[in-house]
Amino acid sequence: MENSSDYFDGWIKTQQQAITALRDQALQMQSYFKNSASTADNPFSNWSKAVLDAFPNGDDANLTKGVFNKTLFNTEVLQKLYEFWQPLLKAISDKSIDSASYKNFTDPDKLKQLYDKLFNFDTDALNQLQKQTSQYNDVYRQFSKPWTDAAKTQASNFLQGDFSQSEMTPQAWLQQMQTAYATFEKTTGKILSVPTLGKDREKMALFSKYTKALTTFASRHQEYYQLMQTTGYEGNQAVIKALAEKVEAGEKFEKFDDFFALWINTNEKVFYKLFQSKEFNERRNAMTAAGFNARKLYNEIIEGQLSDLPIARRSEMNEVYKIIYDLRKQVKSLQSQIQDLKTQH
Amino acid sequence: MNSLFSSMDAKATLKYLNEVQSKLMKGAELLTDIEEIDVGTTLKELIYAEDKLELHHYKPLASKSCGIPIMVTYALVNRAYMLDIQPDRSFIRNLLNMGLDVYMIDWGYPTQADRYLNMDDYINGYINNCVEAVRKHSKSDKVTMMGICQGGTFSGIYAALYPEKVHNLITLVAPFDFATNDALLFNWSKDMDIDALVDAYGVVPGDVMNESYLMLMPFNLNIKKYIDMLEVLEDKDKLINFLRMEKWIFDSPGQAGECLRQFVKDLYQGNKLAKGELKLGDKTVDLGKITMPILNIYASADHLVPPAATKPFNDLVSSKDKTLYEFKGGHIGVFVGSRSQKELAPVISKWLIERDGAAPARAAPVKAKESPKKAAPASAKPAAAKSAAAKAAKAKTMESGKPISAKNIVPKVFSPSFKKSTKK
Repeated sequence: MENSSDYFDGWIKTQQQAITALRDQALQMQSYFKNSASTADNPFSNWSKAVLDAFPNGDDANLTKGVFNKTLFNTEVLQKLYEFWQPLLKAISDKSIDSASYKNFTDPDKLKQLYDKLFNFDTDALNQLQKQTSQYNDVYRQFSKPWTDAAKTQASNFLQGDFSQSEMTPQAWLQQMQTAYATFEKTTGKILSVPTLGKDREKMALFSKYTKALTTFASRHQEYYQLMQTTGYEGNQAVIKALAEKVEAGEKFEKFDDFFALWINTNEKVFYKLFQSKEFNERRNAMTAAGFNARKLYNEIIEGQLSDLPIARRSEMNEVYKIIYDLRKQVKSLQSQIQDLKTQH
Repeated sequence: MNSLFSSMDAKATLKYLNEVQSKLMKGAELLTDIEEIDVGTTLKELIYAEDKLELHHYKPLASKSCGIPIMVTYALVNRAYMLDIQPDRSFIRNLLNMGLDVYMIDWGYPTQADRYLNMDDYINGYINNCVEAVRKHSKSDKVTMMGICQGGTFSGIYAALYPEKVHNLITLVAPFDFATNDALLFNWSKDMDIDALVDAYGVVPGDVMNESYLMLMPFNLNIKKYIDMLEVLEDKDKLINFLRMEKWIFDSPGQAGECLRQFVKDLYQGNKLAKGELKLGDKTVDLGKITMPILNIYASADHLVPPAATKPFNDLVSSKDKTLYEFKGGHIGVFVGSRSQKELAPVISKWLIERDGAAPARAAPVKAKESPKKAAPASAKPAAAKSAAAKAAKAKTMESGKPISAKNIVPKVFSPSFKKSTKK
């Protein structure tokens, strides 16, 4: 067993090594990327940005850049995974934990963050989805607010009335009618001020359908995401179970890679089971069908908006493509017939 | 990763992080030097072009061992250069080294103008025109069709429709019986709303397809692969090889909507090919009309096209000379795995040489007494399906007389006496 003096000597040495290593690498970085790394607040991210900026252009170079970016991202994932599990792994190494105590190890909030990060779920899409849902809620709130206000006013008038009489006062009735009409005018009554027939009404109807399709997609997407999230949690539980079994067997990890392999394989199995399930298939299909439907309606809206402009629309181009397709077939058939005739003669 | 996190203390962690950072820096330096990722470098010439399609003839690399030219048809969903991904891992080069005469279709990248192309156009149109071009260019009446994955399904359909033009049929990891749910893609495709997908896109982007492929093994394909890349980051050759595969994986052409719609509806969902109900144009495809020798190669650990989808093919055809060959590996490993480089080309070469010219009778003896037409696809007749599966499991020995092993044929392939004995 080391004494405290040995421990601190070792610690100081480690720090010196770390500082030396960091200094050397910083110098190296500066020599590679003088312009961007020298003023870095966050050396690593500035360095990686400098590297990515340094890639030449072109399809292959962009692919290379993308691959390197993924490697950087996943390296970060690996480190986060290490940080997350390190206390537990340390405890396993020290044999200072029993399998029963695993139950208290995981914090659902942290887990959610970790899984969001690790599984690389489509967070942009999710954010967009949440934004759209929020926007939809705002619209709904704006629509329903006058009605809510009216209801409040009516309730207030009613409460101010004389409960001993069977009829309300004329003033109270008038106020109630005015409130109701104002509410109608602010909401459904708006429809009266738009043409009831023709393109505009069709556009409105289409927009309404699109909004509905979008909210359906948002709902299906949320259900799908929730299923993935729940499975991520199950995967985590499966990892914990595997670790508990290891502890019970008196085993420990020699290196982090062993744990990483266990983590990958265990989660892969859990997700594979999900992917095979009918529930997953149904939710995924429901989500994609809702998404495609929203996309189709969106295209129709754009078509409607562009109808008066002198540019080719998607549906018109599709007609052209169909004509090209049919013509190609005819030409090929005729060419073949000519060839046959030439051969015969 | 060597000795990373060899223990759980701070010192080891620091060491690990420093190593990672060094690798990243070295890798970054190497990566910024790479402007072009070369693939498909084996010499070839363009002999036919139609719309987006190109047909190439590969320059021979050895004296001809087989008179019948091979026309390779790859799947529509990825680029065919995977068969020639790098000089030391090239299925095409291996075939050429065996003295085979190789042609290959490059489907190109469909655009919206191709959205109406259907399976009839691909098979009765493009493939048939390519076969004609090969016949003319090679001055051979017949060709050997070699189809890979979806291209194997197309080649099988073609062979059923035009048996007079096909001397041999070789299929590699090609699905024919879609009733199985052994692989996730088969499972997912059964219920998918393909109409909504095709109507939304016209030509379905390759990225949409890739999203599904990456989900088949999300942890390995999205996380582990890029962590493992750290191991090759300092070695330029290995790094370029890694990038070649990455390039291929994400270089996915869009799918002509109508063709995809039909493939999913009629095959994945309706299993019409195995049931004998598939219609292309005015023709019904009957796999029972396939009578030429067939070599059906499947991968035992194929997670994309499971053996249950490939093996029943041998029971659906009427060929008497048919061989089922198991490659121990996965779908992609068949072409780029290190073992496949030594194993498959010799197997194919030997099989072809034995059936070159008018010598199919020289094929390995067929011991299966039962008429192949009596078997049925799994979905069509459950009882027959079990029988078909059981037969398929034994097919290597039952149909070829003895199991084919690369070990006992590789040395013979280049032996002059071997060539002499197989060419009369």
